[in-house]
Amino acid sequence: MNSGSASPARVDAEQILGKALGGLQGMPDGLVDALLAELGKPDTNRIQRLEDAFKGAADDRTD
Amino acid sequence: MTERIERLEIRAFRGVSDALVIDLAGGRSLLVFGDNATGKSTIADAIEWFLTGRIEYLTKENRSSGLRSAASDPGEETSVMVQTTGELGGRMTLDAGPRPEVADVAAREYCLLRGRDLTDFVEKTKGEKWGALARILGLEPAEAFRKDLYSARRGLRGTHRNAQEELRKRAEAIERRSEITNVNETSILDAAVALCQQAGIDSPHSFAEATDEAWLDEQLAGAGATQRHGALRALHAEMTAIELNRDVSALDGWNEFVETADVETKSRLAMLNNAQELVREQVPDECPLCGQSIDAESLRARIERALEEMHEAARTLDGAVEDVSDFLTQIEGVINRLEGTRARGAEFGLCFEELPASPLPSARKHVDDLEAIDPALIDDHAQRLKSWLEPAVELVDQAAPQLPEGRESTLSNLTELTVLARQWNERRHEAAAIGTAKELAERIYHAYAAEQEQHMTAVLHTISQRVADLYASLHPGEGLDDVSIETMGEKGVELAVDFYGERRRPPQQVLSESHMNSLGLAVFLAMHDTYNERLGFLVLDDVVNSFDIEHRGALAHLLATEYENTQLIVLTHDPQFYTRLSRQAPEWKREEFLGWDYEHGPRTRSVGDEPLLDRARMLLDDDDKTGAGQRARRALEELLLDACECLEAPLPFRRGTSNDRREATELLNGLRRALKANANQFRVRIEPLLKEIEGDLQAALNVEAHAGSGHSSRNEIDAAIERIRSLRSHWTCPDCETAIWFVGNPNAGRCKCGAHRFPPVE
Repeated sequence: MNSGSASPARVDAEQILGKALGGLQGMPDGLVDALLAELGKPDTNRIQRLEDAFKGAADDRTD
Repeated sequence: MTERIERLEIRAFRGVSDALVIDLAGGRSLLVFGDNATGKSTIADAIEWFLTGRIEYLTKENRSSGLRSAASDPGEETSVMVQTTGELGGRMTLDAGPRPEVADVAAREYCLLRGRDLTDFVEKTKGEKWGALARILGLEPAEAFRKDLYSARRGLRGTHRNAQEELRKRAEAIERRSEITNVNETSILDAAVALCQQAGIDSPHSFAEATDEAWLDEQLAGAGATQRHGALRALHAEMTAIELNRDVSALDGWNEFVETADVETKSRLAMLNNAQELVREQVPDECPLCGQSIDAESLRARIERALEEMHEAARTLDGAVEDVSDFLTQIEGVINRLEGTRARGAEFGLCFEELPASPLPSARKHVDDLEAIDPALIDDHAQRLKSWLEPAVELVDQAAPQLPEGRESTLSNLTELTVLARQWNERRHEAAAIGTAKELAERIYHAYAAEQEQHMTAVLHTISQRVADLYASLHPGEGLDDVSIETMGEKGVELAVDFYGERRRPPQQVLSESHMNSLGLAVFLAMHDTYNERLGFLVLDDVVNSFDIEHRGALAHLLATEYENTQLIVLTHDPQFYTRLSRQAPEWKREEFLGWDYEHGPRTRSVGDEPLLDRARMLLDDDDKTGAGQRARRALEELLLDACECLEAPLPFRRGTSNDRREATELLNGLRRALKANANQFRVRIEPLLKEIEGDLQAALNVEAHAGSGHSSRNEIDAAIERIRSLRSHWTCPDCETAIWFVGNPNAGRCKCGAHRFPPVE
């Protein structure tokens, strides 16, 4: 009954984020690293850390 | 190569205080029956824990510490041992996570579906359904990250709005304290130059110089003045510019929305009720769901109306949350400004009162819980802030009163202007930076959501045909075609179905809860069928709760016939589904969970091919004749229901009473008529037995009438049980143990293995 499909249906957030970031031009390297690093951490307080990562990247760009 | 489970040993785990061993030699399928709270779900829990190191619903309910049985002997280690036909098996204990290979397979493949996840999936609106589908499809971590990105983006949008508001307020303060009408670098510089000329000191050469604290210090020192007075006047200007908005009408929309959430639920129910009434009462045409006569146009119009309301409510959820969050963020901005002024006052030795406690944490919790927010909570707080601000402004004014016209006042005005300009400039940069952060967050969120949607769409496209096939197997001949799951927008997913030749989304428009549940089940099964390469087993934990009896039968047939190459572990508390599946798949191992107690955990027993009759015999052995008679009668009814359904026995029309509530004597007569039409010789042969059973129904199995004195004897009930067993044996293949009409139609059928046919050769 199994089709033996080679492509797994389940992908993790890292794959999705990697592809999403790969398609965007001009994303600061620091932000990319910070977002990818987030995926390896527990999700407690993640929203705040994400906001901080975006702010940090914006500050760097503004400077 | 797929692997099956051959043995399961559960020790000191969840409801098992000592040990529970399930032997599934050869990877045999397992059917478990037990009432609620008898511990049968421990089997699903153990498999999930072994594979993933967690039990998802416990983690969600913050009950992860409940893995070990509290009643276990301290010396007994909590463990789950799974022996498989391949290499994935092993032993799991509390201090060891799953092996990486096992966890990896479990993260990619599909083997466990619980009824609660199914119900979740069906009950959600389309936005929520995305999350529920993600859970069924195992995409939850990716979905959780999307949600966090969304929240971070929303937070930055609020912060950006606040920063812009701050900037506007600073500009207003400058306008109020100077002749400037259009605040920008040039107009500020011009005003500073004019004040310097008026005071007879050197003018700044640039905006940067004018807002440089060191430059101002130097100029003031040269003129024999200090920054203090002007800085305090700037603080005064800032404080008087703070608007304490007591308009809480922004909460009206939220509170109205929350109140109508009940109405939404009611309208959902009303919709179903209306649809049911229409299906029952209206005339021409024919409903493709149930074949009853209805006015199709009315049905369509009324269901659509009800659903439009339901959908509208679902669509406004996101908007309502966003609006009320914005309102609370604005209040937060004001509080932050007041905190800022309090801190600056302290720098000048001014001691303001503590700010009143903020109501925002409580208000935000109400938003999270979808509860109304009392406007008085916000209004009272605004009043307290006002009471705080007025004396604070007065204190600043006293510390640095407005000076009379003259050089000193000009220098103070210059200080005030440059301090305000510095603050305006800082806010300008802050707003620009937050704007950039917001833009980055927007771009990344949309790219992520689009990528996720693309992935989900590809998966759904891959499984759609299988979903449609499975769905059609569960609902044969119901006129619903081309079932599929489609993504809608960047975070919506909806099921769609062809109804009257029109594409309908969501299918709740046209499908009952039972149909929706089977659709969710079909999605899960399709995912398993399409993507599993290592896990050759499927655990279904109480998934038929809302299925009606016909569809329980269809599911039992589907599992028994289409999943022969998969090991199924089916846990249910539904006796009809259990009986149906027992009959359809007699080769499966069967276990019954009889009860559970704290000290000993679940009590189980292996069950033979006639679970209800076996139970009746057991009760009889315990001298419970009434219980034995009841079980035996139910066993007979189930046996006759099954035969009547398969042979399409003609039964008298009974308004408002479903077939599964029919009396055994009625079913016996229906069976006689069906056999007379297609297998009369067979009927004649078993007629004496049917007559004896008819007698049993009036005597030994008539438990109600014998509830008082004059009970049937043990021997009478024993004989009745044997006669029911004998009746079943007349149409059961001794090799494959399925009915001789398992495959085919009422005119011509055969058992599963093909060794025996219907009508039997006499």
